Amino acid sequence: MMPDPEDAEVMKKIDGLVRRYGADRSSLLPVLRDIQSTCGSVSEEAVLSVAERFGIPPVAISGVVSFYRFLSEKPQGRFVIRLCKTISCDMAGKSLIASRLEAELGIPFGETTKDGQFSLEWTNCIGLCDRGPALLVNDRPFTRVTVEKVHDILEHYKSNANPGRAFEFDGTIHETFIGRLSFDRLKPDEALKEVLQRKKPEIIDEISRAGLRGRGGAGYPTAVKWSLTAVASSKEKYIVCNADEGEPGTYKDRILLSRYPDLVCEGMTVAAHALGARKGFIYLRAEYAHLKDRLAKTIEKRKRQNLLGESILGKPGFDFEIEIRMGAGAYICGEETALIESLEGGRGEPRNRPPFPVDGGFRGMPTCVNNVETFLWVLCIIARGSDWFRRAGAEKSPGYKIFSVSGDCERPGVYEFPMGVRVKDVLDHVGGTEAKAVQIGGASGSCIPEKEFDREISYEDVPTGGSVIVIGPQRGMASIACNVLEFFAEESCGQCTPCRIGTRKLLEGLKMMKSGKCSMDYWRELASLCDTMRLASKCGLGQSVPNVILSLMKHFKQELPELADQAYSHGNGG
Amino acid sequence: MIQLTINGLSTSVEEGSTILEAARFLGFPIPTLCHLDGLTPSGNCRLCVVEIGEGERARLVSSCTYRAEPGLKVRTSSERVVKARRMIIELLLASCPQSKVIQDLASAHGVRRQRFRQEYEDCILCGRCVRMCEEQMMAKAIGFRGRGERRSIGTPFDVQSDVCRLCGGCLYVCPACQLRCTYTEPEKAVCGGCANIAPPCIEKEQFSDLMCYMDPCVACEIQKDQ
Repeated sequence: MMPDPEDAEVMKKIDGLVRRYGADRSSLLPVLRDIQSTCGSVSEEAVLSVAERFGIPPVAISGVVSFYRFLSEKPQGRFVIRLCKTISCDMAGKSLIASRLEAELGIPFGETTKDGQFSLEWTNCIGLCDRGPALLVNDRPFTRVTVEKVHDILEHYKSNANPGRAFEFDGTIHETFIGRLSFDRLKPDEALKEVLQRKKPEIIDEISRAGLRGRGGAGYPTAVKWSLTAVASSKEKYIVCNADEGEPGTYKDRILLSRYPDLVCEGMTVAAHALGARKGFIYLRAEYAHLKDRLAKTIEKRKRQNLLGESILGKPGFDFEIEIRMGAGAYICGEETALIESLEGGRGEPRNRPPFPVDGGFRGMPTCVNNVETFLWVLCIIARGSDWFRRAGAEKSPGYKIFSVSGDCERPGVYEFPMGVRVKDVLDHVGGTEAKAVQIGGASGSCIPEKEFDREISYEDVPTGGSVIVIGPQRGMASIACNVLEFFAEESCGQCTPCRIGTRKLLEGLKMMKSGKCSMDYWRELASLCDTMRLASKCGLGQSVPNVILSLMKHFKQELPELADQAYSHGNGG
Repeated sequence: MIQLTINGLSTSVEEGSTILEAARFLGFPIPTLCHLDGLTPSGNCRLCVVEIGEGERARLVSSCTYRAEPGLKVRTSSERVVKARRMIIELLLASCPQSKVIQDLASAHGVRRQRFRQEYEDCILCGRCVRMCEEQMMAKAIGFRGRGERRSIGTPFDVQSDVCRLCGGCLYVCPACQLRCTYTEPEKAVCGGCANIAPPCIEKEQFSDLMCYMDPCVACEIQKDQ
């Protein structure tokens, strides 16, 4: 049978990609992403021929394609419009924008215009929470979108045949209200030069004395992670910079990556020196594709300056390279084992632990995964000493933390506060004194009511990866909880029973509650479901899904409709 | 050998053994669903959770994947474990109330009521069939697709896979029987188990371990129509 000419073209394209990225399984995601962006879909033919080239079964490829939001089996338009629907953008009025988009394009969400130009999709948090409502057209972000702007944006894409040409509705995308950050005072590559003078264990000791804890949210002591990786006997080790910042309301990494790309690379290089790794990855979320060029240029520049590559700064045997790996739209890949799974070209599903990544991570080798911000604090600690870092913050959470503030406040933006800062003080700073509640730690965090604004943001009290969403008095807490649960229902990987079925049941229960159909009994049963989800789910995501319901049950009872009488039951057999 | 304590009883097991294996060796029952001897444990159904650690650091882990560690203290039926186990069974029951395997589990663990809305789904996504197909039949014809609430099991693009040999292995290990009779849609068939036992309508009692719950038998109905 003669191959279809279109097929032949796809094949040629795939061959080119395989030559470029290699046919190793870990190159699968980059290849699929390229196919998606040039062909508008990963078609059946593409799946089959990629399977053949990589020597993996088609079912594995189709599993990967269907896992990630930015890959699609069905053809998509030339311009894919992704409107953010998560909390902050929801509060900023995404619904109006949504109906305007639908009206302008004449298609509902999830569909493509007949001429194949535009696809309209919902998406979860794209990290532009301070500038909502926000949307992406392919990789390009548009922020503070108004109903009028929708028309302009579409007109531009309709009329301009060359979508690559600069089109600046938002020249200020990387700027936001920003206090002076500690990182501004760092001299470039000072810390890197310093560590080359020191013995390797001393570096980890310094970080240990500083008491730095991972800034991604879980707060695992960085020094412990580093020393576990350092002592591993394997020759091959990896450093991963986790830039898959998907937690709703968190966008600090966007700012950090665009303001301090050099420092991020420097931090990773310091880690490489301390741990003996020769290869590093920046796992950049698909939603931040607009940051990729700048990062890539930085890496190139540093190679030329001998700050990356072989014998860095003339030190023989100190070789380190950094590769940027793009995610493809999955919140769960921020979880470190899921991230590694995704780096290896698989479905981003969290692994069973042990083994922990420090023992067996990327390709079974010791892998140290740290948040973007963590690398920057390492530099500060080396440059200014652990005492400086220890002086600020709380007992068990020393130092400073970068917060991304969004929601109902006057000055949303990125802030640096010492750990242990009171919620009230944060609100004073950002102009959110009207707030009736604050969601801290994003969707997986907890909601603090007004009467508890004296509480401290720290690992001892209210932990956060940096997300602070201010909730004004006009908002309904049940609606916000609903939004959060819908987020989880989509972003859960769906592997384990408590998280997959439990989230659905919680959402169902909450909707029943909102419409006044939930019995007191059933509401109590949901509390016990929450317990099980927290205890028995496989990964941190599943364990934190119930937080939002528990906050609602504990602090915002008065907002819930009257519970129906006990006779009403949803199950049977009662 | 590794020394560990299960329910207060000290034992030693070979290095690399899982908690599940150790507990079974001692005769402590731990219910399992996605686990099957001969297949890589996945720790997905969470039914086999046990409690390890003390005080504040106590936590639940899946015993089918967690390897025995020296000095580990395991509780296989603490209050938290039993509560979680029952809740998980209840969730599974809500999703697949018609599954005999899950009904039996519910009965054995004293789950006497069903509080959640029943959904009558065909699949609990335990992944036994996927691992069976890949690891024992070496076919890799079926796999997981999608994620979250849209996670499912099937062949790529829902058409019969070239590598599927219609061995019926997936159906054989299925506790909920999602991949049961697909005889009506041969182009999508991943099993063909019943068609292999030709004629399909011979006394089903002889094949009581074949997990076909179709009643009436689809294949027989088709023959009747012809």
